[in-house]
Amino acid sequence: MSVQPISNTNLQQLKQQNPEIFSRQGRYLRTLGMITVAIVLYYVFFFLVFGISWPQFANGCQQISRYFMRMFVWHDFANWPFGYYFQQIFITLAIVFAGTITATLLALPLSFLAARNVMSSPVLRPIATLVRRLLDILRGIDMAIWGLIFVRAVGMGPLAGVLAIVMQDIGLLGKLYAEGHEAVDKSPSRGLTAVGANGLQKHRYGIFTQSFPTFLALSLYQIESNTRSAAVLGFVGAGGIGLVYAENMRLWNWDVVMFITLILVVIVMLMDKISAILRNKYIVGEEIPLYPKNH
Amino acid sequence: MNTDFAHYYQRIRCKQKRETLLWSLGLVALYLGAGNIAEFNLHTVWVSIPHFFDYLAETIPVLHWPLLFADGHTEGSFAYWGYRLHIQLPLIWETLQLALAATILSVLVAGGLAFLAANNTHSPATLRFAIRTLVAFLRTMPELAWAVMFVMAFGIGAIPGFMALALHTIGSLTKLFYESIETASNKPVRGLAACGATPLQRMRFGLWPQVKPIFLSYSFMRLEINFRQSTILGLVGAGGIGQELMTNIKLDRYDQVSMTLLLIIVVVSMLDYASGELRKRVVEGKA
Repeated sequence: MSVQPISNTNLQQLKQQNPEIFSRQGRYLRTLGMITVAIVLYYVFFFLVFGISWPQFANGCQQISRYFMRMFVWHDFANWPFGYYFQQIFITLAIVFAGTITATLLALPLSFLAARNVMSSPVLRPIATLVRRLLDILRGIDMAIWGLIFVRAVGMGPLAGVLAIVMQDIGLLGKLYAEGHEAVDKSPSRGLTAVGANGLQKHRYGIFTQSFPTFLALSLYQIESNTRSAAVLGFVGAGGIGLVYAENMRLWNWDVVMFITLILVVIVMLMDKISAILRNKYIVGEEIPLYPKNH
Repeated sequence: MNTDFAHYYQRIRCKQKRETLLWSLGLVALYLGAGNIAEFNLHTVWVSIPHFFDYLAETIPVLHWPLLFADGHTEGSFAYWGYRLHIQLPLIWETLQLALAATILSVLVAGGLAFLAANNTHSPATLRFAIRTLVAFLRTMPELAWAVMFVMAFGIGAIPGFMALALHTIGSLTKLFYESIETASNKPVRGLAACGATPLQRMRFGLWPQVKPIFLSYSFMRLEINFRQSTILGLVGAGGIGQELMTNIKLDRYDQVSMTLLLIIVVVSMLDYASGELRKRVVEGKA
């Protein structure tokens, strides 16, 4: 059975019979065209307001290509202070672990205070709203800004970095955990109430048992994502590999910059792998053999 | 039977307890080790946290109730607190534009790259590998590193920030996009192939309708993230509010630190809300 090619008159007839189907294509194209025009106009506006002159742009491109050339030619590779680089990378990882684990511990109780199904009575409702606003504020300020503030408040060094991660992650994780708590099934809580559990027991066994996989997944993901973003902390003096980045960029050592980026790529890939394995093992879970009935 | 079951129960229980204990010990060891290297322990926290609160207390502006709406020369009024608003508001505007322009450009580029990098669109393996490596590199290099590089090349201003943000966003969006293409069902594609559709038509009518809502949702999410990121680009002179914030913090203009942070928080929460609403409408509603 082969498909007959539609003849021209046939097509005309079809178009007359189903005008709404054929007009959809036109409408779609018009919408697409309007979106394209809007985007183009927006970019024209953007470059008119913030743009730079043409010679400056050309000069910049030349510079950038020079930097890239230098990135791929590694001078004097044998004499680089590898010990120092790896020590700084190690410090970055330590900052990430210390910061994220602390944030997890602090965000967990806060998330219960922010979850609407835990704070369900009218007296407790305002507390939930208040905690939510607090989390919004913590989340709204970027990690590097927290780093800047902490460097000013507690001095330079990894401690400022850890505190910056803690601050930002409490905001992020607290909100996401709270959403996890809110998404649970209500029936276990009701059952527990029926057998006489008190409030705390209800939350521990009725809600947290169900939201634990979400909790674990989010924490793992956050460690991963922080490994990626913690490099900025060093730029503001809050410890870690960012310092090496900033130093070597100022010294024009683009080869070192490239080297460190490659190391970071490898580390991030490793973290991806480890967290995927952990996720598979503990969130998807492994089969526990059921007690064989026929014994 | 009863003893059998008890044995079985004991065995499972023991295994679970052992694993819990092992993981907890491992985690505690990791935590203590990390804390040790990062100079993070109870003592230092106990000593330094008061400094943080002192700092926060310093940033609270002086406001006198009767003078709240007086003019800019009276200490204690809103106008006095916001005496740099005429500098800060345009900077916030610039930050928003940076985030928006970088997001739109990188969504377009990442959408194209993602189709080339996905393993179910029949693009050549070498091209796939090249794109994946490139985007991994783009997203692992921190934004600030990109920004420093572009500021060195193009000079201080918003354009280097735009470029840095766009490159980093292309890196992270391409990955999310090609992963979502790879998880799309291939049944429509096979159906189209059976009808004799070209590879381009297969992508357009088989894959695109499936991934479009996911793409849009990621793009909105990325816009929020980009605004937060663009507030720090100014730290290295790449445009936006970050420059102002950094000078305020470094020069100890305490009341202006709180003003700038307040502006950032207000805009971030407005953007969060708006993009949440928009995402709900676009993803669930009409598209």
